[in-house]
Amino acid sequence: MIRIAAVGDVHLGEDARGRLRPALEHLGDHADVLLLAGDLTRHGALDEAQVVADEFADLPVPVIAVLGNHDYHSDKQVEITDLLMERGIRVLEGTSVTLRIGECSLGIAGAKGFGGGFAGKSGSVFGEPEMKAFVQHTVEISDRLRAALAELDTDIKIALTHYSPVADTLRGEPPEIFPFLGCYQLAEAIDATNVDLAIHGHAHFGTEQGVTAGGVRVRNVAQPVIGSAFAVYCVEGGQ
Amino acid sequence: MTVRGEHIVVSGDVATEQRRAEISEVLRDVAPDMVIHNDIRVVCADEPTRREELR
Ligand SMILES: [Fe+2]
Ligand SMILES: [Fe+2]
Repeated sequence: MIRIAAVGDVHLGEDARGRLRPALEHLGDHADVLLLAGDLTRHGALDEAQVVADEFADLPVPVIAVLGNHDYHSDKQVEITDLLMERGIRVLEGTSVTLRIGECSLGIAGAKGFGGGFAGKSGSVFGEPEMKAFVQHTVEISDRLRAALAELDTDIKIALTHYSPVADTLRGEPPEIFPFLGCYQLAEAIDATNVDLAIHGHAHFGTEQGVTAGGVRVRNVAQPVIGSAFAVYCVEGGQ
Repeated sequence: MTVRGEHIVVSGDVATEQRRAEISEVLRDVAPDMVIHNDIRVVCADEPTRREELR
């Protein structure tokens, strides 16, 4: 059994420095790995990312992250990624990481994801170039996530995104904005690749639990949703 | 944010008490004659008290 700690949408900045650190001190007692589901900063500024790096560096377990839309806001996503990587925080974007935890191998593939909407209420690559570009971004990111997941050959497989693969975990958000909160293409990638658990953030007013059409459990770990420094999920390997 | 007559109600979540207070300040600045209800919550950053076993 592997214990997965996860949190998203911590939205840190200088004024929130150290806020999570007390709870993280005992992380090793709770979990084998920590996943960060994006929106680590408020506005994607480098000084905010520095706070994120300080908050999550040098923990007793590996820390794996994806960025969120807020982390892109200042066009510094590459610099933020480098800064976090330098401090030992693995940032995934259409990529994966494999960890060995005891007898078990754990694979995590991650991508920011994007909006686009869900079954019957989604955008498509049609019409104006702006609309095509929007949905093309959705499709490309989902394809990259699918390829990264397909590559993994591990006992347990986790998909980590910022945007949601399902509408279930958006309950509580206004339905009008669902197309900006996630897309069905992410779930298709997850359902095609034998994933054990899908973790996402972004929907601050959503709910924690959902499931894909293919029966993969989905958890929204946006910090306001889980109401703690992180959530912990225990996953049995080798189903 | 919801406006009802003289009342402004704001809700949502922020990471710190200071960010919550700043929102009240800004609202008082831009709408000095309105009654402000700040229902914004500071997100809990404590250790979790439970874990979920997925089978
Ligand atoms: Fe967020
Ligand atoms: Fe977000």
